[in-house]
Formats: sequence, C-alpha cells, structure tokens
Amino acid sequence: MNNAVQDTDSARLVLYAFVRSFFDSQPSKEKHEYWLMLLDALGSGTGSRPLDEALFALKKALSNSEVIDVQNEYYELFENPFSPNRIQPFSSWYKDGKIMGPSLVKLRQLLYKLNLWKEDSFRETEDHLVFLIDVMMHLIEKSGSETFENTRAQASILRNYLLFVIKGMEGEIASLKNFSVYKAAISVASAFLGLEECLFPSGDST
Amino acid sequence: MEKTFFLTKDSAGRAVLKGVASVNGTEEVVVRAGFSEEAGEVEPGDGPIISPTLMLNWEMTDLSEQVLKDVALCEKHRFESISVRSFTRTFNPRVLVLATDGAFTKELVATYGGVLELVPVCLDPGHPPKISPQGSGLLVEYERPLPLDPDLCTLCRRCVSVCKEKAIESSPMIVPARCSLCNECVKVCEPGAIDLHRMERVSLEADVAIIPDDFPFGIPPKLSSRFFTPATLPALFSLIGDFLVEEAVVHRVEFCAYEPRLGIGCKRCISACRHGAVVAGERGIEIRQDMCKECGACVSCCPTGAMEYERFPFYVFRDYFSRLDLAPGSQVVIGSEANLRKFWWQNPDVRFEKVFFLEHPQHASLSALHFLYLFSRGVGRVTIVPNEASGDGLSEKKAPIEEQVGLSNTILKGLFPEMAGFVAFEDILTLKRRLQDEIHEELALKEIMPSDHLPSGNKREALNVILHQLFSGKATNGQKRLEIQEARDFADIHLKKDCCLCFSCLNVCSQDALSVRGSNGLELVFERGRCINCSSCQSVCPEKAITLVPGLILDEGYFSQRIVARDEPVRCKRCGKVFGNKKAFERTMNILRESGRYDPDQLDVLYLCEDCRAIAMLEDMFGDLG
Repeated sequence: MNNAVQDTDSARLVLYAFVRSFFDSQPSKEKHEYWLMLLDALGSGTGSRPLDEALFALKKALSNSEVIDVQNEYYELFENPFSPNRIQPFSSWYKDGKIMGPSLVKLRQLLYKLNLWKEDSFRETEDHLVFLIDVMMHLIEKSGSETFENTRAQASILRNYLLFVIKGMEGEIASLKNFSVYKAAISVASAFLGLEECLFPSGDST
Repeated sequence: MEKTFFLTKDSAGRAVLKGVASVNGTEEVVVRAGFSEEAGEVEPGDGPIISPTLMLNWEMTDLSEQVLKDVALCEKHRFESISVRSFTRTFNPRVLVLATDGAFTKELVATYGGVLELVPVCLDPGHPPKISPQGSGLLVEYERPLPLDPDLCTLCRRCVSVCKEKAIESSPMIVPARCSLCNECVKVCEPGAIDLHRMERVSLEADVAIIPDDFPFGIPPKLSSRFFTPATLPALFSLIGDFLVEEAVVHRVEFCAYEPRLGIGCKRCISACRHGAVVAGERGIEIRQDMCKECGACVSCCPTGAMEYERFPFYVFRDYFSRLDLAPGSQVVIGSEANLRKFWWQNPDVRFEKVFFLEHPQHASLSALHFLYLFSRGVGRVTIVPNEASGDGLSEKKAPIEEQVGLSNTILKGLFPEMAGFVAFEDILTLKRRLQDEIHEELALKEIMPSDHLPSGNKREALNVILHQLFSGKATNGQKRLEIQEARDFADIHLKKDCCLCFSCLNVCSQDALSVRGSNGLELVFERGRCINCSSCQSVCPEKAITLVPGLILDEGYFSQRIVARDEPVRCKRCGKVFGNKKAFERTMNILRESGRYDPDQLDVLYLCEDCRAIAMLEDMFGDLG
C-alpha cells in the first residue's frame, strides 16, 4: 500500500472516530474538549467545501454551547423515551420504515460473510450508526490485506446502510428547533459520507 | 343537484359525457372515453369516470350516438353503484424455527432475531412432531427430554457432587452431550427430580414456520403454504406488514346452502377456489380476503348467488343491459381492459357492425344467469376474451366459467336446436374474424324480455324467471321437455316409501325446494327449480329415504311443486287436535314398545297432544282436575 492511500485511510479513520464520538455515549467535558481540539486541527481545511463548511458550523455551535447543553441535546434526541424530538440512529428505520426491518437481515448476512459479529455488550442492533461506523473502521484498518472484497464491503456498508442513517437523521433533525450542535454534527457526518461515496465507483456495492 | 346529460367530443376527438346542472347551467365532464393507464395518478372519486367500454364502442363500433350516450350513462350508473369495502390487515407473524440441527436454529436466530418473532425449536429426530392447523396458523406438538424437572428440584446439589462428567448446570439442567447415563444422580435425588429418560410434551402455536431444506418430517399438504425454508423467506417477508385488502368477493349468508352446524351442504365455492381463500368456518363459508386473487371461480360456480363479485355484481349487470337498447342479434364481447385495449390497439380504423364491447374486471365470475339474461335481452351472441395469464380453458381442472358457458349453450341449443353456440371463448388474435362472421340474427329473441321483475338476490330465482320465460315461449311450439344430465347444479328428488315425514330435511333445505303443504301440514312437496343439488336433505334423512338425481329437467314440472310424500294426521285422543303424522308416530311407538322399558299403560299418554299430556300427568298425581 502506498503512502498516499495510507494517509487517506488514516484521515478517514480519524473522521469516522470523530463522527462516532457524537453518538456512542452521552457527551462529556473531555469529549467537548476533544471535539474543539480536533476542529481546531482541521481548521486549515479538508479540501472539500461542503465538509469544511459543516466543520466550521459545528465548531461555532460547540463554541456557543456548554457541555450541559450538548448533553441535553443528546438526551432528548437519543435517550429520553418520552421525548417528542427523538430520532432513530438505525438504518432499517429509514430503509424499511421500522426498527428491525428486513434490511437488518441483509446486513447480518453481509456481516456473516465478513466474519464479523456484534458483541453482546453492545445492546443495539447491527444497523445502529455506531456499529456501522465500527464496521467501516474495521474494514478500513484491514483494507491493506484484502483489497477487492474489502472495498466492495465498504461500499456496501456505506451506500446501503450508513448513508441511509445519516441522510435520514439529517432529514429528521432539520425539522426540529434548537439542537444546534447535533444538527451541525449530523451535517458534518453527511458531508463526510458524501465525500466517502466518491471513493467507491458506483458498481462497487452489492 | 339535477343534471341533464349529453354526449360530445373532447379536444382529442374522444367521447365525453357532460352533465349540465339545471340550476346554474354549469357543465362538468362525468364520463370520459379512455383507458385507465392514461388517467395517470388520479385518486378514486376525483375527476370523471374513465370508461374503457365507452372508448371501445366509440372507436370500434357503429353504435348510434343515442346508444353511445346510453352506454356512457350505463357506465356512470355502473361505477356509482359499485362499492368495494376495504380494510388494513397487519401481519406480524410468530415464527417457529423447526429443525433437528441446533446449528440451523442458531444461525436463523442470529440472522433474523428481532426482525421476526422467532421461537427456535430443536426437535429430536427419533420423535416426529405432530403438526396440525390451528385457527389461521399451525400447532406443533412434540416431545423433548426433561431429565431434570426444575419444578421438583430442591437445589440440594447432591447430584452435582456425584456427577463425574460435570453435566449438571446451575440453571438447573443436565447437558445431554456431557451425560454418560451413569444414573448416579438419579440414585441421590430424593425428590425424584431426575429421570434421565423422561420426556415432556410441548405444544406451540405459531402463524408460520421456518424449516431447513432437509427437514426430515412430513408437512400436512394443507399447511404447506405456512412453511418456509431459508430460500423462500423473501415470500414470507412479502406477507409481513400492513396491507390494504379489498373485499372484492363477498359471501352473503342469507343465500348460502352450506350448513355449518352439521358441515353439510353446498361446498362448490370451496372446491372451486385454487388459492385456499374460501373455507368452511364455524359460522359458515368464510373468505380469507388476503388470500383471494379475485379469480371469480367461487362466484361463477355458486348456484344461489351467495358469492358475489362486488366489482360488477349481478344487479348492476342486470341494470346495465336493461338500460341499453342494443339492436336484436347484437354481439356482446366481454373481456378485461388489458385484453380489449390490446385488441383496440391492433385494429385501428376498424368498425364492427352490431357489436358491443364490455370491459369486465373478471369475466370468470360470470355464470349461466348472465349469459341467458343477455339472450333474453335480444343479444345474438356472446364472446368472452379469456385472460392470457390465467390460461382459461387450458387448466387441468375445468374452470367454473367453462361449465357455465357449456350449460348456457346446452340450454339454448335444447330450446333452439338450430343454435350453434351462444357463448364462446375467443382469443384476441382470432376475435376480429369472429366479429366479422355473420350470425343467425333470426335466432335472437325478437321480443325482448322485461328485466324489471328479475330478482337481484338469489341467482337461482333470477335464472328461473328467465328459464320460465324462455321455456313458456317455446313450449307452445311443441318443445315440452329438455333434459341435461350433466347440469350438476340441478337435481330431482326420489323418496322411498319409508319416508316417515319427520321433516328433518326441511330444516336444512335453505333454498325452500322442500316444503310442507296441506291444511294439516302432512304433504312434503318439492320444487325442482329451486333444488341446487346441495344434498343436505340426503345427508340428514334418518331413514335414508331421499335420493337426489343430478341433472336439469326443464319441463312444466320444473316450475311447480309436486307432492313427494303424504301421510294421515294423528289426532289427540282427548281433544282431537292434530299433533303429528301417522307414520312418524307409529314408528316412534314401535321403537318404544320394542325397547320393553315401558308398560302399555305408560305409553297411552303418548296418544295425547302436548297440552292434554300435561293435564293427564297432573291428574295422575292429584286426581281429576275438573
């Protein structure tokens, strides 16, 4: 693997980890600091205008928010079962119109082929945004040795699942008032995945 | 709002029926000639009615403007009269995963867990499960080993201490793979919780089941549609979710000749349905609307009209042709919109003389009643354009519509021997030639029968009205009798002498073919025209005195009642009231006498009517009540 590819994969891993950190658990002071620090580091630009604009908006939203505000946003969006503003981070919600829809089966079959499975400690289903990002990161890490199948799998996870979740969440959160940090974070994820899509020729996903 | 209607052309030169409001003179297009696929995304009820029938007759026939206006009005009336009920059905099935291999169930649960409500069951290859229907689902009963009964176990752990294989786990349970059947645990178990050969019986209900391709046990053929393999799971997923179901075929219990309490009577609809959508339920015939494919078979074969096709019911058909003034001897072509549209497409610039095209959503729901009704309205010939996909006439089993066509032709040929065939199937490839053929118009009825008094409910009653009109017209010309043995929807009754007039048959004859006549109610009469050969009377007759002979015998007797059994009345010895008939009474008395359980004096009371019997019993206890 040449250095340019390695650099790209490293950058992708950083950005996937960055996106993941918004959705894997309730935000903390450490996370808040990490986000601002990383956004500072990315200040020089990523080379993608939509992503740069989304990162700038996120930095602005984070700078204008206290940790408690971000925690409240997270709670209302993902944890409070009675929240009218709850959004679903599952791909089958957007693909099938319900949680645990038939597309989850296809995802499980793909994971089975990839010899990947979910640990019992992770309580959500396999089509949860965080799990999908983990799968993607795992595939990127292994991309050096298993190029062809790996690329197809990445394209499939991205096109058939990840993009569905992020675009769906983006649509849902757009109609909500407030939630400035998560609106911006989802926009960053959307812009980043848009960039990711360019990595895979259209015939790569199955 | 009152409207007057007129037929005109739109900008494309196609016919439109416009309505003009008498109050303010506003014009509105009510019916437009066209095909539904050209209508685009129009919600039902929005905009004018798109009529393929008007389109076909406008462009392909020589019908006058007045008749075309009538066609448009008939179409308006037809679509306004039709209402098909619909409902939403939700199907989230409970799914059994049945296998003798644990790896299969494990993999299924790992892949489909949560998406489907799965109940994994690992069966013992030596103990076949019993699989039977349960409601709309299935019931699986099987045996599984229960070496350690947790209900009896006191958790004393003596067994654990003696088990060398460490096969006993804290759940508590014995892991069969580790157990060496040494029986040491059984010896130390005081409450008897352990029996290494004990089996327990388990019953599980579910909607469907998933099995491996090499499932070693048999599946009842009736339940095969409820079993899926991993390869056929997409079919299961296609059934899951919320579905809009339209009740295009309905069952009208008031006309039905099936007797659910005894499970006897007419079951033609059940036999005719190839999709398992018509079943005999506890309260009568039931239609599983979600399984119904609207093939029309059950409607066509129903002799009473209990099954009705709501997209074009008979009463709408009757009204349609009673309003339409077709020239005597016209040909009527009936087919689906898709087929007729194809014919229209393939035949530009062709106009047929004395032809009327009727778009029908399912011609296979038609019956002899429809065809004979058309004949009675002066139609010279009926041509049905069969659906290519359904392969009418090509299936192994004769479709009910074919039998109905055959019956219509046989009846008409019987009455009009010179008639070659009134109804026929014709493919669209040869339809043009048939429509250009000359037909013997002189065979068509010159005097069109009135249809005002044609009943719309019971199909047989309506058919009898038409048959009576046709027959009485011909009978004067010497045609006294017509016999069609293969007409299985008709029958004549023969009674043996030992009919004791218990009248059991009357209780199950839903068509009133059998009834009682006479001032004392002692004549059993039969009306051949009403009998649909359901054989319920035959099934319930305790004396086995009834024999039904299938076939249509059309003569004067067909339309009238005839006495099939007669008896003398039995009168009360005390008051003289009639309380039964002689044969049934004598038979009962003989049975009681022969039983030897009663003194002759005790039986004397049976010679009294129910009122006097009560008085006699009280007098016996308290002396003369007078």
